[in-house]
Amino acid sequence: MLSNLIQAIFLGGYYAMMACGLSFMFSVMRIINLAHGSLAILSAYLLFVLASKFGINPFIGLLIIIPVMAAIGWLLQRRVLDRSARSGELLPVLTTFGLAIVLDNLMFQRFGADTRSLAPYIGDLSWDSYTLPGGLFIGKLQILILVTVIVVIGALQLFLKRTQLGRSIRATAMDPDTAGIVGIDAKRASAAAAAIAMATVALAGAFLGMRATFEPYSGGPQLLSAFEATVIGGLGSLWGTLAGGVILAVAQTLGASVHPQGFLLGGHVAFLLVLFFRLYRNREIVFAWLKRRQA
Amino acid sequence: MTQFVLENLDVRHGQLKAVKDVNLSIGRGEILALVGANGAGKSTLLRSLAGAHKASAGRILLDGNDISGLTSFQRVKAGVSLVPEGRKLFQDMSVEENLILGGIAGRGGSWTVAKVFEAFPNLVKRRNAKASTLSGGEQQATAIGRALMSNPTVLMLDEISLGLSPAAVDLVYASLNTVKAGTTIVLVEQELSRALQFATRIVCMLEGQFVLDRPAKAVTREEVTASYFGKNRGAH
Repeated sequence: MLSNLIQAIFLGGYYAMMACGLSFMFSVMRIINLAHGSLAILSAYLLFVLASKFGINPFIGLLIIIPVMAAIGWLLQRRVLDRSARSGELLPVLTTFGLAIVLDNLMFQRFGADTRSLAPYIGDLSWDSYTLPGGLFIGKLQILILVTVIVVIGALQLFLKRTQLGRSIRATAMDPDTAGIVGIDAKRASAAAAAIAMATVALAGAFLGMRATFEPYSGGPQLLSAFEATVIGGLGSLWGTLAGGVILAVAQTLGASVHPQGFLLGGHVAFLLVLFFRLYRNREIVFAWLKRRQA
Repeated sequence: MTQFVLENLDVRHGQLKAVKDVNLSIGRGEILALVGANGAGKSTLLRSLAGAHKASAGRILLDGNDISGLTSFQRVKAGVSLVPEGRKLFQDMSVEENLILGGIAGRGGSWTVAKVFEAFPNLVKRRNAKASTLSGGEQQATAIGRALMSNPTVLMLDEISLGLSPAAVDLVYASLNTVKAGTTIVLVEQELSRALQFATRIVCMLEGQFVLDRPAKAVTREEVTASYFGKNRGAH
């Protein structure tokens, strides 16, 4: 049981890695990026191509793919999301949904249905583990992922708090109109935020490929767990997202201990419980909103 | 010497023309108070001068350069800064963070965080307090300080006494008196006696047009009140 719990915490670290870009993008731009999972798969494929065709170790490959994904994020915000956001809140959601479908099918066309993994290219890191007293095994890769997500979230928080670009991203998130009046280029701030979010997606995609396998349509399930971790942790809070990832993983582990097929179900139940608890706690706001919709 | 010129400026809210074909030329160092009833178009005019609301026709010249095509943040860079109605501070940020953001345009000049605290001593002890926890007067002082941080050549202030106690308004104007040297100021002020006291020039707006434009010394309360409601329209 203890072993299961510890493994769950490390799995939660991976979920948080996958979710932190989603959470960051929502908190800053109020955009729920439904293409998030597909973009992670895209970066996994890019790393796979670098490794299989050019023999580039995925960790070295990240030095190339992180800037590439950041550039994709920048362009996505400037060329696509910025425009669709002008026509209301729903349109960016639909846009990213469409983008996910396009990406999935393009990847299917290009890479076929074969299941891939980055594990063969990272030596023994993919399976090696430390043995703790009491016969506990902890995978080296799992530790690396958890440490990385803590460093990434810590760095993002520090960046938002201490740098002028970070402050302007926060100001733009709070009030883009006033941000402009104060002298902030709100569009540039949003594009920078999207670039940062996509840089974290590159990391998430790399870890996805190293710890498991992926195929062109793997984006959906990744998006789902990232979304659940984000909502459980509280939308827009990065440390909350880490907690959310861990809670999701622990709930899945508990679900699996009840019934062999209860793994995913346990996670969904935790997600729904948190969701309904939040709705109940903010019932006044919810009812006021419903009333306004009826009027 | 003229510094800020509006030529045949039109501003719309959808179908509604909020500002109709106005012309104005403001000299360097002038303090112009824009007065008028609610809905006369004062705030809309200021927002359009700041670039937050695109004018539908006309030109805005700053030191002879046409700035009408610039976005709001580019206008701050050019030297036009607005203290918006309702203060509009970044609520989750501290006073200091709000001020630092105000300097993002990087125009250079004498205004620094330290100097703002000198001009508004009531903010010093609130330096690290979140903007949402400030009193109205402190919020207004922070909003003005934030605008000053861009070292503007034209400072626009929208309804700075709105919602403040008379004592807090006194404090804000006392500080403004110390910072006004050399800066051209355009302010919207509902309180007529304040406007007459502080400004060097009074412009009264009615239904999107200027109906009175006089040096503050050469105008009486009664005259301004009359044009507020359009009583001397045509006689102007």
